[in-house]
Amino acid sequence: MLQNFRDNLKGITTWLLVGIIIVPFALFGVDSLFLSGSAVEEVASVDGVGITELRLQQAVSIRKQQLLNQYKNMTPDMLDDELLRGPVLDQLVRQKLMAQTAVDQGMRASGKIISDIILNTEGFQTAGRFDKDAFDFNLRRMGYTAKTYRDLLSDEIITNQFLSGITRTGFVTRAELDQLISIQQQKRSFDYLTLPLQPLLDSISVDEEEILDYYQAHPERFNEPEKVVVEYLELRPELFYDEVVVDDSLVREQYDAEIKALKAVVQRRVAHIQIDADNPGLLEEIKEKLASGMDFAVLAKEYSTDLGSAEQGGDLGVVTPGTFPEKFEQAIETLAKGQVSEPVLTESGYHFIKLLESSEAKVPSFEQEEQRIRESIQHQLALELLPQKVESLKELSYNVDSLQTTAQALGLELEISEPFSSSGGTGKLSRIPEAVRAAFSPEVLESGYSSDVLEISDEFFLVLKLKEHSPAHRQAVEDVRDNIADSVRRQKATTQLVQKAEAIKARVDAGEKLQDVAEAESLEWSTSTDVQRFDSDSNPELINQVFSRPETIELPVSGFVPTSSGDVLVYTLTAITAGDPTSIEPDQKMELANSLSTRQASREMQAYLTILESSADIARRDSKSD
Amino acid sequence: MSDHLADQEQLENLKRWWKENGVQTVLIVALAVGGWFGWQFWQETRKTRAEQASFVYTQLLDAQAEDGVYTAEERARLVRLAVTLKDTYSGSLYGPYAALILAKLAVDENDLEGAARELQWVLDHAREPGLEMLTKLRLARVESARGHYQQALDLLNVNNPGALASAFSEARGDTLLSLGQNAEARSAYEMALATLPPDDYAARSLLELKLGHVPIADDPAREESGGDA
Repeated sequence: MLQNFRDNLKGITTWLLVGIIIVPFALFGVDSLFLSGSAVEEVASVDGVGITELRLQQAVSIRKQQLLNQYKNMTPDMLDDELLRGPVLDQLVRQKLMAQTAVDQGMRASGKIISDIILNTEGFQTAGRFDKDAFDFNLRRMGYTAKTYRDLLSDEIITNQFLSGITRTGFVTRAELDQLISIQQQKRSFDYLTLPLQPLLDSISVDEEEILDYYQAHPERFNEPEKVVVEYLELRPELFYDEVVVDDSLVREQYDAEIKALKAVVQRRVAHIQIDADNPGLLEEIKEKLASGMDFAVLAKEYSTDLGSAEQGGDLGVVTPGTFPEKFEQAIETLAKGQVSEPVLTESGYHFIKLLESSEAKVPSFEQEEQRIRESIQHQLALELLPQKVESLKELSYNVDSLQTTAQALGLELEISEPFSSSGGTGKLSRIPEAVRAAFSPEVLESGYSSDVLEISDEFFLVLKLKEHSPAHRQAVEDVRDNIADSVRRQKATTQLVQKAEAIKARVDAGEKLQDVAEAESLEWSTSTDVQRFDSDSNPELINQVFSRPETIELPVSGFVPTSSGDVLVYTLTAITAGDPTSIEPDQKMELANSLSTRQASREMQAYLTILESSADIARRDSKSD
Repeated sequence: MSDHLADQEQLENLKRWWKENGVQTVLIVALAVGGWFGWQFWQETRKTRAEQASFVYTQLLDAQAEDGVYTAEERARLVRLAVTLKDTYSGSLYGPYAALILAKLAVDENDLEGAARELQWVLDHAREPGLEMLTKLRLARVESARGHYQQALDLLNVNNPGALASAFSEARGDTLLSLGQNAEARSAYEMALATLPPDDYAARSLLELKLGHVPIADDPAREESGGDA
């Protein structure tokens, strides 16, 4: 019996041991045993809850994909994971903080909604239905287990709910709205005169010393980036037009097919008078009556044996090709509008056919179309040659001293680009991002090899090779003398204009009228009445300046503004009219209220998050992102 | 034989021990097991309740119109869902969030008294200090719009509004302006500008507009002198 007891004891011990092993599995999932080392290492923690290296890596790769989708010109190698880590980690920390605050405050994600999201995710579906295999496959690919993925969704839902409580409840009170409208709808009236730059420029001379001074004072302006000139070969179907022969019969065939298609869309409405085949005597009678001018419809009613149409005056409606016997349809095609055919014999008997209406598409003649069709066939045939040409280009451009050899062998013309930098330049080649990237790749730039044959589009291939290379350098003063002279001249002119503007302003302040000063100096002047802040008709620089004066200032008041065109404007602000909140349309007002509410809410949200961050215990251990 | 005796003795000991401590042991085990299940049950209930609240809140968000235009039924549904959350789940954030949605609805309908009531409810139920701060700001703006300027100023008189400092000063400026205390209003707006996050350009230009709008009647020294460039 005691032996039995011992056996039992052993059983319990075993059970306990098994339990010790099972419990962690049950609580933490299988992940905890297999993910080890740096993947589970924490890169940051928020109030004691960690963010793992694995999570950060996943988020970085998702962000990377988003950027690539957003900016089509980017390639994966342009995005450095190390650079993304910092910002992405900040974002993860914020998310974690929000999720944790939310959970503390009793927020949860509903399991049903998580399941709904998973079931409706396109990536997890096959033929529009949830597919467990696709789900498992995609999760594994992204490095999630079902549990960690659900946790991720749960976090996202909770975070969104947490945000929504602030961002979707922002408001603007009517008092605030009215205050804003009265400011925004405010109208101002002003006079202004223009001191033009151009006439002054010609009268200003610039000496050598000034040029040198400017050159010394603005070192950064004359830095030339690294630039290259490349030789390149293009492959486009147009280049092989003379290598293809377009058979005349092909052109004719194509023309016929097009015309047929064209005619298929022509709609014809016809009427007919049907006579039994064994009653040919009637034919002459009807012919005569038609010739004497009797109405076709009346005759159809009287004579036609096609009782279905006779009542409608023989009207058959719009004829779809292929509905009637061939002879009948051939007859229709020869008819002009209003014309009646000779009797046509079909199985049903004789028919007089009248074309009532026709949306006749103009059928172009063969001669009119020949050129265009020939060219399109030519293009098609040349396009078929392209793959083979691309192959030869690959072979012949590989490891050559100059693409000139390749060009000769293939009968192509070698082209030389204009100088361009890695951010582009003038000339058509520098506007092709693939070409610019290839030109600055180490193979081309440093090793001097030809580039790969680049596929710019289905019909455009290109290969290039470095011809000249100029490293980044500072331009010599001789090369930029004219350029500097222009800048100095402009600077001096602007200084003079501003002095003049100050003088005019002083005269106006002393009581002279702006118009009078303008007339006296023979300057152009103008008056703007009741202009609004966001008026797009007036010079925005002037408007900004005029509206930057406090509305409580004593009027009239004058000032001046140097504009980007170089002209200087002197103005006198003469009147300010407060905006009337009732003057704007109710729906416009509502729109404004909505946009202000959203803005207010996002501002509040930002502040709220900052407050949360300042009171949370956040630790970053990610040395790479520091 | 001695082996057998020892076994016999042990058995006796065990029986004696059980006689003395058996009841206690059973009780402790029962309590522990019961407690564990009770805890589990409570946790589960809490979780279920929270998930229910979450579900209702999702529906509430769906019921909220982006442009603020509702039919009578839509509006009734919105209110019903929000009231359900407030009544049933006031302990979690869902209750106060529902009240914030009702407050927005009330402000949009220019029912300032209703808005103030909802916001006060949030203040009474929210446990998160940041949210409380934010709600004070909103309530103060509503009170100010109602003409309850002193209440507004009292609400805005908080110790350390942190990142909300600029918004608090701006609201104070608006209220003081309505009271006709222009010099104080101006310095409130100036404070708001000074505490504004540097990248908040939209708020900056708006604040500058407001500042330029404050009458200078009681401060004639501020006449601007002109000359720009």
